[in-house]
Amino acid sequence: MAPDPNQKKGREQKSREPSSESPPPAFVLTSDQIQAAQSGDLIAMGDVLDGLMPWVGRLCGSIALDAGPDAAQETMIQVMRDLRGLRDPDSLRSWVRRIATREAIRHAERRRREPLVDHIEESEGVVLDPSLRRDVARVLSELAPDQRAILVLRDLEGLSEAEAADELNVARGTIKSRLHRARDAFRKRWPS
Amino acid sequence: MTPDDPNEMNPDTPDRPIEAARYAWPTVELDPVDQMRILAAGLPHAAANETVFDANFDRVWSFIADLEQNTARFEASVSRIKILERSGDRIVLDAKGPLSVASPWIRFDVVLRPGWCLMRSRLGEVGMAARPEDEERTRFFHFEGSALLGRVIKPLFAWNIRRDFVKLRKLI
Repeated sequence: MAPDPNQKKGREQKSREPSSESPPPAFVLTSDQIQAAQSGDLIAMGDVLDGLMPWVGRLCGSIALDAGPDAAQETMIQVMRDLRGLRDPDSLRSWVRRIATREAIRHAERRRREPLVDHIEESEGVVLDPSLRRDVARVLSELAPDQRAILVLRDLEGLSEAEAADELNVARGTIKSRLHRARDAFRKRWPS
Repeated sequence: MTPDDPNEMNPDTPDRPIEAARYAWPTVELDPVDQMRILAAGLPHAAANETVFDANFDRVWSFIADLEQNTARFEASVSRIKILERSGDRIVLDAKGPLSVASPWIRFDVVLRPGWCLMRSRLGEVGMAARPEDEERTRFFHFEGSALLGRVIKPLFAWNIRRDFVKLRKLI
């Protein structure tokens, strides 16, 4: 993804068009690109950044909400600093997801009491369905960060309960009950 | 999107509100300066700095992006640039060192997009990024480094970047 210099000053939070033609960001990096980046090849490091950024932006935006930009930036800084130490390039996705989830929850907890909706409305003009975007943002803002995290990992990322438990470093039974509560809370708050 | 009968839904399975709204979940995009800061963090041998120019983004970036005409005007370690290949945002170019006749040509691989420029040769790495600070000013981020020479030479790159900023401020 090419960064857009003409977006407003600083980092922004956006939502994508709710359409079957706008799938969640794909993860498109080859082992060769990852290994070249690990060796310090600047162009390959840029490719890895391009490849990871949309996906990390979605993880952090969905879990950390208005703290998403800070969480995404800190996630990617950790990734770039520690990439050389990653033993298996094929484990990049799970490694980055773990960092992103942890950073997103940490930043969300820190900013838990700040309002969300007004901030998101600043990005009007890039969103094609503002009412759906606002509904999602409002519902998510009323959930706890760990509830948003489990919804993202299970329902958006498609992880199994065992994988999600490992990602969040909690027991499998805890994941099951947390997911149950999160889905229930999302549904109850969804506009009728 | 609201279920006809919420009481019939099983909370252990994803339901229609979550499924229908999945593409509307919030996402984050970082601008080129933020992304370049991330890359620089992964290059401990590189010096990095940023400034704000009193010129709008289009003016700043049209100057920076004209590598053949303008790079040698502000970058003291370059006397001339020749673009050899261009494909999309990828460029291969040769750059000549500061001693116009005596310096050898050095091959660079480049990624150039609006607000974003990465340059890599066997000797070093360069990054430049810009974003509008407001309608009349532009934030500019720049790093230079050499993995080959390591951190020893980092202060020299830091000094060079400050000198680039002074020259760019006069040229833009």
